[in-house]
Amino acid sequence: MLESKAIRGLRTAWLEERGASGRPLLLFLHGCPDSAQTWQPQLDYFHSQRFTVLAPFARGIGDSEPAPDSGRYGRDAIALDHLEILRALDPSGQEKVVIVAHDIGGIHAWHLARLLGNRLAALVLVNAPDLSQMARRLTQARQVLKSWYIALFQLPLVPEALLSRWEAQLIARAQEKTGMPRDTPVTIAPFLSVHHHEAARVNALVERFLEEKVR
Amino acid sequence: MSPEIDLDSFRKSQRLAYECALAVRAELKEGWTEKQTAKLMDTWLRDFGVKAFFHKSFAWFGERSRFRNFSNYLHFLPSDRRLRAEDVVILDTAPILGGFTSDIGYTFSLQPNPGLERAMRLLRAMRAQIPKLFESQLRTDEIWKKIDLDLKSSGFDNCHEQYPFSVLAHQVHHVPLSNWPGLTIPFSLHAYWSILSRGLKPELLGPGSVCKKQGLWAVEPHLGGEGFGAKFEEILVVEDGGRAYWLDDDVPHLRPA
Repeated sequence: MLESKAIRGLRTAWLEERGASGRPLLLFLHGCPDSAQTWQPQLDYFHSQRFTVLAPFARGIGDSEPAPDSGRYGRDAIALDHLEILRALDPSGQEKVVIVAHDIGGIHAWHLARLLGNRLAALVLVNAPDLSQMARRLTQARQVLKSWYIALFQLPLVPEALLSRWEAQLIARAQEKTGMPRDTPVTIAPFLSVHHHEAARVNALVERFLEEKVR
Repeated sequence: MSPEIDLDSFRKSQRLAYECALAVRAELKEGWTEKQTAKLMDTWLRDFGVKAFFHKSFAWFGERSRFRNFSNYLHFLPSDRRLRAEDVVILDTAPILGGFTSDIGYTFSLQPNPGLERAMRLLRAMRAQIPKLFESQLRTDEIWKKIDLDLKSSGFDNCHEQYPFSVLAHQVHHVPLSNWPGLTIPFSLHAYWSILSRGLKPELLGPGSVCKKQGLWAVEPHLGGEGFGAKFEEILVVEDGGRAYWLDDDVPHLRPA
């Protein structure tokens, strides 16, 4: 079920299914280029096991309104969003939380985990080192070469230009390298919106791609 | 005080600051650091459109809430001190919302604390008394001394004595260029301009200051108990005719626990 609320002035959406009380909340944080729907198989499975599950759409993705400035994409702002979503489900703030996170969702998961304190029951990370671990790895040439795309996405204008020009080829390439089925909807644009301010325009480009190539 | 002063906008700024403190309090957990807490407050306020601050947010835990062993300015800055379950907490933040400055202080503990409850009772009594002091014939330095005497005779220490210039209160104003964050370390260029452009002394209510009472004052009595400090801070309006009243009576430290 899709839920949403205004969080500090911005519409924020998440998928949610309520389970039995007394069980930890399972919070799924997606990566890039993904959305909350990426976790649907996990949401369905764990809900069938009577857990309450929720998966936020990251800022600027799906029904989560993009932010007017880059500050809202920072770790603290995202953590405040997640805390407020958790409070919407659990006003008491007492339920234990299990965080499952992938990719950049894992960066936010590490940060949120520190803030949850003893409310955190478990942290499950898929390909998501902490920033301090990543910083150590970036002292190695091999990791720097593998992470070239992170540097690319920090540049203004260049990522948007590349995606506009070669979006289908880039997505197909990403699918080929990762083994993702060709018919999986891919939302590269929202990732760019995390780093730049072109969310609405880039999202429109991707929607056009999906209509032409996938549907 | 100019009759055109937009009290509603100052009230809006102050209410936002208190909402921030309450929102962060709701999430605060054992193990958080003062730095983390203060940073989250700043983020929360920026997300509501605050671009500039009179000063950045402060969070003081436990013995640091009474400034124990603070010997220089840097000690006041939020530290890596982690919150313990039994700590008293002070959150202090001063956003400038659309040019309107507010400065609040909010004290609480995560667990019941009889010492803090006694301190808050005294602070609430002081809150009721302060407008009358401003309306009386007492000079501003005499107001400072009266508050100092009252809290010491109640068995507490005077912690606002350790603030810069030992201020019990400072004036707040509408500031220009509030969309420009400027430099905030932790007081902002807006704060320095606001105070210095009006001559410094008339803006600060300290033990030796004799200045006019009219204007908007951020009043912050801060007392020290055994191992903790407690304060409130909010805006007092003093009109040209001498009438004094708090900008807002719907503040957290007056609400039932």
